[in-house]
Amino acid sequence: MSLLDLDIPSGSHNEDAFLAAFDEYNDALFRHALFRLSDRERAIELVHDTYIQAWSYVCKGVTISSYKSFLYKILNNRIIDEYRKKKSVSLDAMIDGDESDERYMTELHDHSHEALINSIDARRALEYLQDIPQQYREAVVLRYIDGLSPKEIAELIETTENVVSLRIHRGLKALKKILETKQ
Amino acid sequence: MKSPWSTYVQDTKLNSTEREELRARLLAYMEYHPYRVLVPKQVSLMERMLQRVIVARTFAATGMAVLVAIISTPFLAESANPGDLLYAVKTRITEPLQGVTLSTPKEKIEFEMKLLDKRILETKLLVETGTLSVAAEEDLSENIKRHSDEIQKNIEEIATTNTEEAIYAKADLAAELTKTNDIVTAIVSEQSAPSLKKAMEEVKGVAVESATTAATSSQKQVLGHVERELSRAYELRASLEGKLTEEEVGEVARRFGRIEVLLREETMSSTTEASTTSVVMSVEGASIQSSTATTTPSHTPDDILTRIKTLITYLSNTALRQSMPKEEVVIEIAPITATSTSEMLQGTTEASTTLEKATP
Repeated sequence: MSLLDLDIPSGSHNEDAFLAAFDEYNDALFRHALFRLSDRERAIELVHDTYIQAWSYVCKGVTISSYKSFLYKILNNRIIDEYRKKKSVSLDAMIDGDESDERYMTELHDHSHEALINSIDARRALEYLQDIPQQYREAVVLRYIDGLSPKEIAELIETTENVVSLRIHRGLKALKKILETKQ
Repeated sequence: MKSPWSTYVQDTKLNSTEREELRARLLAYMEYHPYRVLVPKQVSLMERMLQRVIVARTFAATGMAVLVAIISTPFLAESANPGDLLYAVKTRITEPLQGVTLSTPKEKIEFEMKLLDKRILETKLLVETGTLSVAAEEDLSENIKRHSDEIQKNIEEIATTNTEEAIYAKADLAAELTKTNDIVTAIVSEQSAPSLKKAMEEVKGVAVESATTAATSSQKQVLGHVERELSRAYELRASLEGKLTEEEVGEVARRFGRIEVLLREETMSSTTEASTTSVVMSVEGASIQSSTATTTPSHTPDDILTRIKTLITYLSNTALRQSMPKEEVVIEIAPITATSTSEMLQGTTEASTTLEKATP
């Protein structure tokens, strides 16, 4: 089933359901935006815009089966727009080489995600998260800060689970390298 | 599975002020953009449906009004008089529709004759009520002409299949229009009505001329036939010379004499008609004559032809001659004209001689 269910409105979504979604996910969305943008004020604005856009969809009669997925999707698109506005880095250039399955399997064979994450100092890693490429940061934040599964991330950013795992792996490796360099 | 970083990130969140502010902004937005107002798709659907119903009703009402107008107009037009707005509907739509089922020219002629009578009644009504306006007069003139034309057209159609019937129909029409003209003239005697009078005179003139031409043409044809048959009868008598009994010779002579008398009578009548241009027509048993008409001949060319044919049959059939009773002799006195008095006297003497011979 798709994350976004764009069925004709049934009238079941009301203000209470929407406000409950705000109460439940505002911190998680803020956290995600903050670790992606490293700008507190801007993160708050994007969370606000995310909820406003979600409410607009509700009013248009879009049936939202999962507020979590729906809100993350809107926020992620907003963050991508934000990167495009800054244009500091080409989004294509952020992709580090080949993301084919063969390459991925070889890389994963050397080190698993668990081994990598355990070898990294979490507190310091969070400080240097903004230094890794945007697409790796997106995957790492969604996986280890927001706690989404590779499958959920794949649906959210509309790619395969393998690509998600590869980006997480590369992100962690990049982060580890940065931390080693800083030491 | 719990993330190993979760312990460190849980503290990263909105503070209460930020959260309340964010929530307040969101509620304000929701207040200005409420769900109820923005769901109105169903309401607008209802409105659209209502609009469609209204449009459909409007169309239905308009259609009904047009239908009622179409149905009621002919009924209203039925009582319209010449000069009225609906009179054209009556004469151009309603009345032609009434005659649409008629198939034969004869039926159509009868129908148009009735309409012609109707126009006369309308004229009478308008004159009596003093409402014969110029417009009404024009309407009447136009329709009378139209009915006359329609009748003429149907007569021509009859003429393609039955010349004799067409001649009678033309004579009927001429008589009818002569009568109608007299009636209209009488009705509008105290009115000016120039166009109506002129129209009536025109249609009457056309009909009379047509009837005269047809009658003359027909008479000439019959007379030619009579001449041929009479020559044949004479030839037959010549071929039987010496073969007939004395009594039969007398009978044949008597018959020839009578035919010749009738022929002279007929020729003289035709000459008189031609010289005075009189028109004599028989309409439904009544005889209508123009002011200059002379006496009506008692025997038509058809009658003479029948007599000649009977004579030929008599001459050519021996058994018939013997069994046939002798025709009763009637003394015929032919009209005397100044130019043929001596000829007539000779004919009368001959007839008397025949009478003497034929009477036992």
